[in-house]
Amino acid sequence: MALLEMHEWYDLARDTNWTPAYVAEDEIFPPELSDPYGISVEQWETFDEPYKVCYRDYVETQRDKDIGAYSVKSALARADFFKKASPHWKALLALHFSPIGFAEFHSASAFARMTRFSRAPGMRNMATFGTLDEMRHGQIQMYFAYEFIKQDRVFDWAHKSSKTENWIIISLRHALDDIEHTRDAISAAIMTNFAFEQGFTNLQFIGLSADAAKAGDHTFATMLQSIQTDEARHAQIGTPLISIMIENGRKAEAQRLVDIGFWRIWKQFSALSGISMDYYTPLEFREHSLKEFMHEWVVDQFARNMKAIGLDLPWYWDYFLHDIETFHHSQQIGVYVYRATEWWRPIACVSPAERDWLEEKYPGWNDTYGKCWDVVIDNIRGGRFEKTVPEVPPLICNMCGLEVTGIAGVGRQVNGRTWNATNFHLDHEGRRYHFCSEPCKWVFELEPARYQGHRSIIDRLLDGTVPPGPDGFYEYMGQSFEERGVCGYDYQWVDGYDLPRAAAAE
Amino acid sequence: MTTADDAGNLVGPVMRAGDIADAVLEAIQEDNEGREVITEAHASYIRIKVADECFVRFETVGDVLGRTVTRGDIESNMPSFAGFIRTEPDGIRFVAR
Ligand SMILES: [Fe+2]
Ligand SMILES: [Fe+2]
Repeated sequence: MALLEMHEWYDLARDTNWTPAYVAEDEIFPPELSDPYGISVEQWETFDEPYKVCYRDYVETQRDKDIGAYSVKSALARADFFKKASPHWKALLALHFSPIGFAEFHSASAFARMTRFSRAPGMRNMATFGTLDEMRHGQIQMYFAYEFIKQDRVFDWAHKSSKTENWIIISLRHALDDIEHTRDAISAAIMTNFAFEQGFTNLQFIGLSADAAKAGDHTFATMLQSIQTDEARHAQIGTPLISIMIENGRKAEAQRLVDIGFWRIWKQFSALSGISMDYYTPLEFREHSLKEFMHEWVVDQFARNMKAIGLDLPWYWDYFLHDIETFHHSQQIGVYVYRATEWWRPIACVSPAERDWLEEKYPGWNDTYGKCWDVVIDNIRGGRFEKTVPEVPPLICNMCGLEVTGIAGVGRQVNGRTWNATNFHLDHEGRRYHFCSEPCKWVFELEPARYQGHRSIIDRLLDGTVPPGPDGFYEYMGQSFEERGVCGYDYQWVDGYDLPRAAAAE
Repeated sequence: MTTADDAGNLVGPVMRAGDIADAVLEAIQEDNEGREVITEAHASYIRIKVADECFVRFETVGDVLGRTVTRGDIESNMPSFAGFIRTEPDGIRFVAR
């Protein structure tokens, strides 16, 4: 029997709205979950999926994608790639797999909520596939990380991390809870599908795959791109939603959702992709710098989409352009010096050759971030290893959960260089909140009630939530003694600065 | 510095490097006649860009490869694209808006 082509039945099959007879419409689709913007159901029904797929094709395609990715993995497993990988690549894999794996599973619930509560039948279709996609992303990354556990316990954190109160996980969870999990279906979709997925996932899942291919890690490269082929499809949910919002006089609201989501996710990717691309990827395998990848994927490809659908660039765009050249450099310093608070083995990646590369990609790096590293290097060379670890905890941003750091090239002059370590702060209902940047503060001020109850890891340290004692802090963060990060090169990376090996081994 | 306007209206798929990517490129050259097709090769992916509009026809890709090519074959090898996508019965269209 000849089957009808998808386009011959699609519109008819999509039409799954009906008028309920036994309950009120509002009870099935409560406005606070389905549409706080008061747009009519007729308008939502105009949602036309730009990227259409039917279930039969979906299952077949997804099966083929999995066969492709898993067969590359099993064909290359014997090559023992991981055993021979450098501390650079091991740190990069740990940084990717441990926060992301379970966050993908969580995304499945965000898509499921869109599937359940959207009033647009076309959106419900796309979100159904998106739910299944995100389950796949959770499973495949958990499974690929699992392979490494027998060689390195760090990969236990692919599963464990999301259940801990580690400061990095608190930071990630705060951002994802904010945009994916604690808003109505429409707002969450605009923030997640448009600002987050269309905006940033290409960076980590395609950009980094180029580095992985160069490094010979074809399993990782294939897995990343396989995942991204799903994202390319379900991220398209955001576009028709924004168009419907704009057509119905809700541009300001849509713009605000994008501006918040874009900033929040940028901060996460700045640390994740920034450190991965500009530091953890071995020098000889770097395809581009973070800045170059950001220009390709975000400043060019994504920003054009924003304007084409009728939005404006976010108000903080100029600041953002500066931030893509600066923020991750200071975060990398923090991640290295506070390494015991991380579960993997952080590495510095500032050998003389790596510094030359950083200076070339980010002119002025040596004169700013390099000066901070000089102090670290000097202490290691002098055998004063304890001095490479700060005694005081850092100031943590009450929005992004990352360290409030100096940003080179912005603000006031210090020692002849422009150096901004401004703590943007706000006093609200009897307490002071600290922020790393104007946009993080702006997000808070938009809706203080949403954010004011959150306590950063430092707030928890000060208010007694974290148990006292030398181990209390680490135990609170889920880190046994063996799960506290040490320098991945055992300080020998400074050998390039002529340190005798014997001194470093002491 | 790149600004959001520099890339003009270049649209088209980003393909995972491999035989499907090569075939898609060839098919795009054939089906978008008279328009310049720009490619940008990276270690693991290739960007294919055409001004304003770019069409990938499944049958042409299949002719290049000598086998049937489905929508799923393209999707499995297309981690991203520039511009906006329109799925059509016989292919995929990318438009600037
Ligand atoms: Fe995903
Ligand atoms: Fe996704």
